[in-house]
Order: sequence, then C-alpha cells, then structure tokens
Amino acid sequence: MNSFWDLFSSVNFYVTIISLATPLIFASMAALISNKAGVVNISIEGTMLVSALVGAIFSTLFNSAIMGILIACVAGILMGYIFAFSTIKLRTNEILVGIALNILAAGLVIFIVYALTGNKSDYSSVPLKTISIPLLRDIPIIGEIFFNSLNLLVYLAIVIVIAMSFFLKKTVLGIRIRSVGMNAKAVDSIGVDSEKVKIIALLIAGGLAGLGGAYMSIGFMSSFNTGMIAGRGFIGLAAEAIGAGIPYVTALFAVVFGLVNAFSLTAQTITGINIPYELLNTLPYMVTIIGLVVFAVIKKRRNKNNIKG
Amino acid sequence: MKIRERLMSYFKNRSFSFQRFFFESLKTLMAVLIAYLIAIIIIVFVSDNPSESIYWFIVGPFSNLMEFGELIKKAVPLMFAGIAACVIVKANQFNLFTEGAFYVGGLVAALIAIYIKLPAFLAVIAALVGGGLVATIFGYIPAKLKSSLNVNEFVSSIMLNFVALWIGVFLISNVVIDDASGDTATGIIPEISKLKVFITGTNITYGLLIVIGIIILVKIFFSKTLPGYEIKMTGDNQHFAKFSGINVERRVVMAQVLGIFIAGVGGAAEILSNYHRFNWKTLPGFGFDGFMVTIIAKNKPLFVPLAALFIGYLRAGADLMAFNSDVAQEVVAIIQGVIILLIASERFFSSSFFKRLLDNYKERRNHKRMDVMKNE
Repeated sequence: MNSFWDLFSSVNFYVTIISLATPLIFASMAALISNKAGVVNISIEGTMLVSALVGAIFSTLFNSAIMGILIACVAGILMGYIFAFSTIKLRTNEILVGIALNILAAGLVIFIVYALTGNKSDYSSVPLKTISIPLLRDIPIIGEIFFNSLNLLVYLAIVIVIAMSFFLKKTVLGIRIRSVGMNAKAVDSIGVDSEKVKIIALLIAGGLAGLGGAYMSIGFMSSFNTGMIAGRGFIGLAAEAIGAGIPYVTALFAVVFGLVNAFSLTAQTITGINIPYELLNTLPYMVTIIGLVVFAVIKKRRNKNNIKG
Repeated sequence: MKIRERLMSYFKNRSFSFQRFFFESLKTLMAVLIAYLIAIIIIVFVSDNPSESIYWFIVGPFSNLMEFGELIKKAVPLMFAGIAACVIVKANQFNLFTEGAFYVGGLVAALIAIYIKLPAFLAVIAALVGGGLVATIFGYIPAKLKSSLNVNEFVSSIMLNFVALWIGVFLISNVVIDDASGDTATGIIPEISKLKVFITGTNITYGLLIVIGIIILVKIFFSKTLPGYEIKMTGDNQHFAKFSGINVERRVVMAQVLGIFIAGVGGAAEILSNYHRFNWKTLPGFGFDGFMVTIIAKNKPLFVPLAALFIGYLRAGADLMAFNSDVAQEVVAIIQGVIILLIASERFFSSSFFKRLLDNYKERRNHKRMDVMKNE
C-alpha cells in the first residue's frame, strides 16, 4: 500500500473496521445494560476471556461454530451470575468483584488450556463461516463491505444494538431496569423486587459479553489465545461512558474505536510513512482516554449551563 | 488545629474492637480454607499423581531455605504493589496504573542504572527514585482527570497501562536495545546499581528492607499526620470530608500520586533485584495483585506484608508443583479469585452473622437454665 488514500479506499479496511468494532459493540452493550441497572460491571473483560475459550473448546467438541457460540453465551451468563450473586446477594463491592473475576479468568483460561493441550496460550476453534448474501452483495462498494465477507455474529451485534434500544425504552423489564438504576428503593416501594431486576440485567450483560468473547475466538480468528481480549472489555466500558447511556451513540463510539484499532493494524503496511507498530498499538488506548476527556469536558460545560439557566 | 481535633475524634469513635478483629480473622481463615478445598478438588481431577502435586503445593515452599527465600522474593513486589494499592484505596479510588507504574518504574530504573554513572549508593537511590518519579508523571494523568473532570479513573488508568506498555516495548525494541542480548532487552544493568542479596543462601535482597520501611512510613502517615487523616476521611465519606473543610480534590490526587510512586519504586526494586536486563514485553500483573493483597489485608498497612507473604507462599508452592508435577501453576488464580470474592463480601460470615450466632447460643443457654430452674 502506498498512501493513506489507498488505505481508506480499500474495501478490506472497512471490513476490518467492522470486524474489530463487533466485539467492542458486544462489550459496550453489556456495559450499557449493567450501568442502566446501576452497576459498574468491570468483569466484562474476564467474562469475554472465559467465554472465548469456552466457545473455542465446544466448537471443536461439537464440530460446529454455532454450538460453540451458544455455549460461550451460556458461560457468559454463568459468569454474570457469579458477579450478580457476589455483588447483590453477598453485598461485595462491585469493583472488587470485578477485579477478582478478572484475575480468576486470566488464570483459569491458562490453566484449562494447559490441562487440555499442554501448551499455555493457544486453542484452535472451528471458525464461523462468512455469509455472502446473493443480490445484495452485487451492490457496488456497500455490497462488498456489508454483504460479502462478514459473519453471523456481526449482524447479530447490529440487531442487538437496535433491540437494546427498543428493550430499554418499550418493554416493562427494560423500564424496570432503568428505574432500578435511578432509584432502587423507589422500585422496591411499588412492589417490584429490585434485586431480581438487577440480577436479570447482569445476566443479560454476561450473555452479551459471552457473545463478544465467542466472536473473538470463533468469528474473528480461528483459535483462542490467552491475550486476545487485550482490554476490549474495558474499551467497551469507555465507549459506554462516552455514549452517555444511549445504545446507538454507544455503538457509534464502539465503531470509532474499531476504526482506530483497524488503522493501527493496517497503517503498518503503508510504505510512505514509517511509524513503528509498537507506537501504533498505543493509538486505540490513547483515543479512548481522549474520548473520555472530551466527553467529560462537554458534560461539565453542559452542567454549568444548566445551573446558569 | 480545629480540623485536626475534629478528625481525631472522628477516628477515635471507630476504635479497635477485639471481637470484630477476631471475627474478621475467622472470616479470612474460612475463605482461605474454602479456596484451598476447591483448589485441591481441581488438582485431584487434573493431576495423574495428586498426592505428590498437593505435597509440593502446600509443603514445598518450606522444604529448604532456598525455597523459603523464593517465597520471600515473590512476596516483595506484592508488598510494594499491596501498599501502593492500600494508599489508593484509602481514598476510595481505584487507579490501576500501579500496574503500568511497575513497568515504567522498572524500565526507567534500568535506563538510569545503565546510562548515568554515579557512585555506589547514589546509583541505587537515583534508579529507585527516578523510576518512581517517571511512573508518577504518568499516574498523575488519571488522578487529575478524576479530580477535575470526574473521568472514571478506573477505565482511564487501564487504558494508560497499555499506552505505557507499548511505549516501553517500543523503547526496548528500537531505541535502547542491546543487540548483544539476542533478545529485545536493554543492556546489562551494572552490578553497582543492583540491590544486593542480604541473606546468603537465598535470593532475598535489600528490596525487602526498603518495602518494610515504606510500609512503616505509610502506617505513620495514616495514623499520625493531618494529610493522612484527610485522605482516610475522604475515602470514608467524601461529602462529609468536603463539608469539614477538606480539599477533597487535592487529597484524592495526593493518594493516587503517592500510591503510584510507591508502585514505581516497587518496579524499580524488582528489576534491580532480580534481572540482568530489562526485558518485559507484557505487563507484569503486579498492579492487579496489589489490589488483591490490600483486599486480603482489609486495607490495613500493617497487614499488607502478611497478605503478600500468603500470596507469595501460594505462588511459590504453585511454581514448585508445576515444576515437579503435571499441574499448571495458574491454579493459584482460582484460589486467589475465590479468596477475594469471599473476603470482600459483606455477608459471607460477617461479624453480625457471628454475633447472631453468639446471641442465639447465649439465649438458648439461658432458656436451658430457666428450664432447669423450673424443673427444680
């Protein structure tokens, strides 16, 4: 590749963006629904890691990517339940539970991979096939990007964003989740069990994080690697913080982070400039911090104006 | 002085209760036992020779002086990380840049040791303090963002960890790389800057003394000085602290900066004690461990060494087990996770639970006595 123009005009670049944004969308949706229920859920990172491994293991066991994804989702829900049980039933500090689960997950996956294969990092999976939709794929550019080389989970991520918006606004459970996040005591006072609502929200979050993990090992790559999540769960949290709790905006920022990530991966192939890949690797994280700061400044300004008005 | 008196009275009200201390210890013991039970069950499942694995895991670290020294060596960075996290958590902050601080501190200490020639004693001090200071510059970013813009320090510090890591990897693989090493690593750290072994026959270095000194200083800081009180109070109840006239923003930043500095010194001490070259290409993981240590220590500075020794014992045992049998040492992660979950939970064997148990018992005893008296 010769220039930035080549990079930005290649279809592959956009496909990479979408592929890299998908796990962030899952993670940010998990963060969103936890946050709506008033819980800061930092165990998403660990949940994604565990379910990435579970997905890889069961996809090879049943020789089917779909089974792997389903069981990874169940594993995510299970992790969500551990988180919910500890925070709500045992009254443990959310952040401490999150740290505990992340430590647990990081060790557990290495332990399991070693017990199964004898090496400490990789476990191959049965990858998900890409979907090529006839007719639609013939649309120039858009068809090539959206309907030719993506897999089922990418479309599922898009559906989940839309469904999440609908779920939180229009369904009884969604509205209950939001009100628990605002004032749990008020919800209890009208006879709804706020703890139960919180647990349901955290289970959904676990399932979403599980799908994100499964996407990493089954959809994006064809193997599990112990370092493959690399802070994506935390970037999901950041996207949620910047998205101010609105599903579409959150997803948009997940895509922005996906773009930066894709750029940092592919910019190495441009011959004209010579940025070492180590420094390009810092980009997604730097942009996340900058995004958080910009969002905080805007929020502060708005608050000031509100007080004045 | 008014504020000082007010603070003193505030903390005197929460004086030491032996009963509570006893219950807390009992709870910790229960958590450890349950975690060990789970680990042993797992080992029995995966190991071909479980009795030998379990033997190495539990008794191994005490089998000879060398192995015991290994335990202490593993505990020293955990003490650094634990006391760093303790200072940060006292202000109820979760700045996880302690992780990156270990990396930055280690790298900067190695560079200072290699490129700046100083006489013996100064060389060590310069490397340690330099490592700590550069780490602090990084760690100040999430702290300041939290206090002035209310940016979640947790997320921003984790992102900063990765930034620091990749900058470090860039430096050691392009700028300060020593081709003679056959690896992406810095040059050899001169002997003069290293922390020497101070108990012969083991690998225990002066790093242990440094961290014990720091822990004592932190203890004095929190129990005898005004800023220490103010940080504690800010952590306990930020609104109350604010209305008492404490500059909450400044104390929040101060706690994080202090913690990060200690973690940076810890990284420097780790590199100067146990490495010939700086060659870390991933984050060392001590930052998260530190938070774990301080949870187990119930956030009390003087218990941090005990908690660190315990985790060091777990890891030394696990290493021996992995070396001598077929179980991976990562089984420790399961134990650690379970212990933290149980210790941090309010409702698992809480002191009120024990109190209820005690009251029940007394009540039943009284009933029995009454019955006996009635029958008489």
